[in-house]
This record gives sequence, C-alpha cells and structure tokens, in this order.
Amino acid sequence: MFRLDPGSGVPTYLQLVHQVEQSLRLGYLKEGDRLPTVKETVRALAINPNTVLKAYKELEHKNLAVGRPGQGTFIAGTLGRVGPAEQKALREALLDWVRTADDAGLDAEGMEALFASSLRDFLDRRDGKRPRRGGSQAARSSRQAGAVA
Amino acid sequence: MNLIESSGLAKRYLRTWALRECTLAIPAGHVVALVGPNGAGKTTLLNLAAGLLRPSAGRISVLGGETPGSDAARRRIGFVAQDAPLYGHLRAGEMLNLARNLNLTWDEKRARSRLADLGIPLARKVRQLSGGQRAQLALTIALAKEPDVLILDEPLASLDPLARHDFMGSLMAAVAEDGLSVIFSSHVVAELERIADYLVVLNEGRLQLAGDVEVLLSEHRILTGPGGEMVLDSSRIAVVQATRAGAQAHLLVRTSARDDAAPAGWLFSPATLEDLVLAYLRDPKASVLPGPDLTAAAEGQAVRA
Amino acid sequence: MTAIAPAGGKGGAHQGAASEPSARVPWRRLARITWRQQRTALAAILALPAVAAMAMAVIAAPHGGSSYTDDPARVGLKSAVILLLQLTPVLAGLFIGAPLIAREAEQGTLRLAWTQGADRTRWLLCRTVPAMALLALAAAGLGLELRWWLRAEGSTSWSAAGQWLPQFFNLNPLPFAGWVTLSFSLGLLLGAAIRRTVPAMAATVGCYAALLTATSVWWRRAYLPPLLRTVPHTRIESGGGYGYGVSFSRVSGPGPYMLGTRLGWPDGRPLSASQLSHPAAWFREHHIAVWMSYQPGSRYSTFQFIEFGWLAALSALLVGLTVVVINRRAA
Repeated sequence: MFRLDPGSGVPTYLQLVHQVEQSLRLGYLKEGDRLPTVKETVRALAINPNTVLKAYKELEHKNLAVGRPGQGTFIAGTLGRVGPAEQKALREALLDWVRTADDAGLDAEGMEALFASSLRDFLDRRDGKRPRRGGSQAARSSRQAGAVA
Repeated sequence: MNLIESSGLAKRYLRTWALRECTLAIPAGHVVALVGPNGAGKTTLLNLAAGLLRPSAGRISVLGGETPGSDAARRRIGFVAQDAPLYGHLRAGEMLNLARNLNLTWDEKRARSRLADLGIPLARKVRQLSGGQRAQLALTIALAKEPDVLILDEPLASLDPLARHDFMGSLMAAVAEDGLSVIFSSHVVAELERIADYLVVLNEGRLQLAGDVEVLLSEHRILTGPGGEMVLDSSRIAVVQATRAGAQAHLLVRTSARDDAAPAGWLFSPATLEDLVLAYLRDPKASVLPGPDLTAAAEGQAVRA
Repeated sequence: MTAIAPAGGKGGAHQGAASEPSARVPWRRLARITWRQQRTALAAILALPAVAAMAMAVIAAPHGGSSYTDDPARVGLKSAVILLLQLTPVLAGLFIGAPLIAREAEQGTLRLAWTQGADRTRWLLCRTVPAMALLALAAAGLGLELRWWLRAEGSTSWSAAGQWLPQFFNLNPLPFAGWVTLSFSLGLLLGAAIRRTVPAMAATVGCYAALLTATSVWWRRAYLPPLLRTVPHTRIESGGGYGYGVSFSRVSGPGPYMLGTRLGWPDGRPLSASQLSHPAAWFREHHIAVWMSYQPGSRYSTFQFIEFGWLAALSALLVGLTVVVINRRAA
C-alpha cells in the first residue's frame, strides 16, 4: 500500500503520514478502515518499525487514526475536505501566480523553492514558532577561518 | 540495558591492532548499524561480542553485564557470522534439526513456517541454495532460538538488490514481531537511513561515531557556499569535514544551535545519514561520541581547523 | 552443579529451561547431531574390519592341495598387506581426527557451532568420545582377525620367535587399538591447534611416525626390566669375540624378545672395553660368560596391556588438552 521516495529528502515517517492523508483525500481510505500492521508495512518496505510507529502516532496526534491494542490502527477521522468548486478556484489563483512568476523570469525550480519557503514561513508563523532571525551571525571575539578544501 | 558495553576494548592479531580503545555503550531496543570501510574492525567487534574472540585489552560485556561467550550470553544472542556459515552437505531441514539440538530454546513451528513463506524447500541441500536463501536460512536459525538480540555480520554482502530488500524486510518484520534488538554491520551506507536508529562508525580500528540516528542528524547539517574564508562562531559550530565540488564548498558541520542563520552567501541544509558517515570516514581523526555538549564550550576560544 | 535441561525434544514449545542459569544442552541431543554428521565416517570405520576379514579369507584360503607357504606370490602378498596395515592407525588421525576441528575452522562453521546454546567442551566431547571408542573397538576387532590370519596354516612369518617384531606386535588387538586412538587424538589436538586441515594432517603423520618409531625401537624394550641370563656352552675367543653352542631359547624359553648379548663377569657386571682385549685363557680363568638380556615370551601379553595402557592414557590426555585449546582460543 505504501511507497517510499528515498531521494525526496522528506523523512520516511512523514511520507507515510502524507500517503495516508492523500488516500483519505482521494477516498481510498474511509473511516473505520484498518491501516496495514507495522509488521506488514516494514516487511514490504524494509524500514525500521519505529518509523511506522512514529507515523501512526503522528496520525493519532492529528486525530486521523486511533490504535486499538491487539487489533491494529484504524482510520478515525477525516481531513477537512475542500469542495471541488473551491479547489478549482484555488487552482486558477495558483495558475495566475505561476504566470506572473514566469513573466518575471523565475524558472520552475525557483518557483518551487519560493513556494516551499513561503509555505514554511506561513506554517511557522501560524503554528506559533519563533520566526527565523534575519541577518548574518557575525563572530564576536572569536573567529574561525573556514578553510575550504 | 546495554546491548554492548565496552571499555578500552582492543584486539590484536600478531602485530596488527584490529580494534583499539573502543569504549561503547550501545543501548538495547534499537536497530544498530555498525559501519566502516573494510578492515575497520567491524567483524572483530562483532566476533568479540559473540564470544568468538577474546580481547587483547580492555573489557566487553553484552546484554547487561554478561560475559561474551558465556552460557547465558550465547543463549540470548542470535549470531550470523560473515558469509552465513552453514553445513553445505546437510539439507535445509537437517540444518534446522542440528541447530535445534544445539539450543535449549527453539521455536520449530516458526522456523518451518518462515522457511515455507520464503520458499526454501526443506529437502534441498544447503550448498544448492542461492546466496539469498542461505542468508535467510541462517537468519531463520538465529531467530528460532528466540534470542534477545541478533548480531549479523555483513548480512547483505553477497546478496543481489532484491534479496537484500527481502532480507531486510524479513528482518524488520521479526523486529516488529518480537521486539528484538539488532546490530548489523555494513560497508554500504546508502540504505541504512531507513533501517537503523542507532549508528556506530568504526574506522581503522577506532570508534569514530556512536549515537542515536535522530540525534546525530539533528546535530549535523550541511553548509554550502562559495569557497574562501568564512567566519564561524566556534562555540556554536564545529566543522567536521569540508569538501570542494567545482566552485562550491560543502562543509559538514556539527551544531546545537538549530535556528542560527547561515553566514552570508551560504546555505544550511539537512544532512543525510550517508553525508554524515562519508564525511566522518573521510577524516579518521574526526570523532563524535555521545556526551560533550557544544554549547558548553567557552565562547571566545579560538579553534584551529 | 550441572542441571541437565528437562527432555528438550518437545518440538516448538518455548521452554523455561533457558532461564535456569546452569541448564545445559542435554547429551542425548548432541549425540543425535553427532551421529548425523559423522555417520558416514563411522560406518566406514566399522566396515573396514568386515571388508578386511573377507580379503583375508580370500588370501589365506588354500588353493588346490598346495600349502600356503609353497606359493611365493601369496607370501609376497601377505607381506605387502602386513606392511600396509602398519599404516592404518595413522589414517584415523589423518582423516577423522585432524579434520574434525580444522575443517570446520577453515569452512567457518565453527562460528556457527560455537555460538549456539551448547558449550564448546560439550560439543567437542560429543564428537570425540563416541568416535574414539568406536575406532578402538573396530581396531581391536581388526587386530583379532589379523592374529588369526597371520597364524593361519602355520605360516612361518608369525612364530613365537617373530612375534616381537614391530610389524607384528603393532597388529595385536590391544596395541592396534591403542595406536588408533592415539593417532585420532593426536590429529584432533593438532587440528585444533593449527586450524588448517592439510598442515594438521602433515603434522599428525610426522608426530605419529616419530612416536611409533621411538616406541618400536626403544621404549617397548623397557616396559619391564629385562631378564639377564648367562648363555652356556659358549666359546669366547681372544679379543672378545664369542660363538654360541646352543640356541637362545634354551635359556630364555620360547618366543623371547632378544635385547642384546655381551660379555660379563660371573656376577653380571659388564667388562670394560680394555678388558675385552684379553686372550681366551684369561676369559676362561675368570669365568667370564656371555650374558643375554631379553624379555621372556611369557611377557608378551603383559607388554600388550602396558602398551595399550599408556597409549590410552596419552590419548585421553591429548583430548583433554584439546578441550583446553578450544576453550582458550578464537574460532
């Protein structure tokens, strides 16, 4: 059921979480469905069982799943669904932005990087994390010359 | 409980020191990867833990204070040596019988069902099995004696990628089922990150790195930027290794200050386990052992790179 | 102190036996796997006397009406067989003793065998003691067959006089069994110490040959203090030469092991070198006699027991040393 992308840089447990969420979004998983056991998952993916446990714990934390001892982990909640009309409108807005960025001369990777960092900033601020300190961190009285090979 | 605890452990073969000054405390309940280049001392360390070798100096104890090779230790450890030694002239089923009669605890049903799942016929002679099947048979035997820990010496070495995946999947399933600890050695780093949650790096017979993978990864980052001089606050950041790729320089740094911004023109990015291990292996002098806290280092101290 | 675990043959049930700190893997189970691993070799050992018996019957059977000793070809064949048989004990060491540990060391399976629940001493003893006992029994059986065969039809090669010859003494049941077990335990120890099959085999042959030669030529003569008797009717010439008028067996009885003769005073003391160059009259005057040193034929059985005794004791010692060696060292 799960597939991993080793080169994506996203931690394995998060990939599992996202795949469950995606399955929920697309309707492949419904409330009450049982998620694969830890044993089945690690056998198929050859990953550390703690990773799967962590993913399932995260799903519990997000109120998407609940573990029943001796029986397994079951889907318990739903993602807030965004209706198809609203999704269409959001898509249009995004395409406008892409067009603007393209006109400004930003290439695809630049757009992705810009989007990723903006999203990160937004989530940080929304979730109450400390904003990143701007400016360079100059050395005070000690210096270390970074000798570069 | 510590899986393996050693203090000043060393092993010498005639004139060569295979292992030196090895002081370790590997906690149980983990999947431990022991990495290092060939000849780094991995097999020596694992053989010492299994009781097949006696130390030339220092001490080692396993599973919370047992002497390696003692009755209690041997019973609780499932050991698969390099190249999965088995008796070639016996059939797979006879090999199981042999192991069953050599052990006090034995789960015959599970061993047989495991072999059946893997498609290994009991009537086939061991020397006619493929490399992957032999490795799985050896693992089955080690698991069937219901150990507390599995010690595997380069279990993937002669396996093709599919066999490797199957072996690891099978191993992880056993860990999930029984709550076993595992320590395995490997000189291939690429696939470790998904499997190991504790890392030990050996290089040229010395311990270079030992720690929880999550902690290690959170402490290390890659700093990328143009070459040339750069100013770093040595009390907050330590350069482990620096390499050049074209006009760019990559430094592997160790820092406990997660939120510091990079110096001007440089960029932080997370380090992968592979980055980490390769960087340390390239510089045998570098070492990180659990303990010293970087932020406790005095400010204002000049550090020569 | 050693608590044998309760009947471990209960299939897959998880026993509480392992929680008992001094529980050991029972001998019975070790014996089962020893049999499986050694059965080919042991069957061959047992088959050997049977095969040999048949071969002997063929060679010794009278052809037509001629007596055995009239056929030089068969006499020659018999001599050849006797010589070959001298080599058989060393085969036990070469092919069973030396490879026992050395081959497993070379193939790496020691790393499997020595990391299971059974300890090394138990593992070794189980693979050694039954094999050694079986070897000794088969060797004794073969020795009995040989004794019958060599004396068949009154062949002159085995006589009361020739029985002390090394090639015959060695083939008696007790010495033969002793040499076989010694060869095995020697191979075992050398295999455990050297850890490589071919060098261990070579060392086994070398040590065995040295021991056998030393025993046959020197040690066997002295198991018991030899008897000294004067030979009557001898003629001693000037310069110390002498000739015999009677056969030795008149003095010693049948089947003696002659160790040597020399000139001596009436009380038995030997003459010094200078005293040998006297004229014949001087010898007569001082009643110098020819003294002979020998082991009487009546001691033949006793000597076999003595030889078996020290060989068996040495074999046990070598096995004990092997236990020490394997516990001390690495796999």
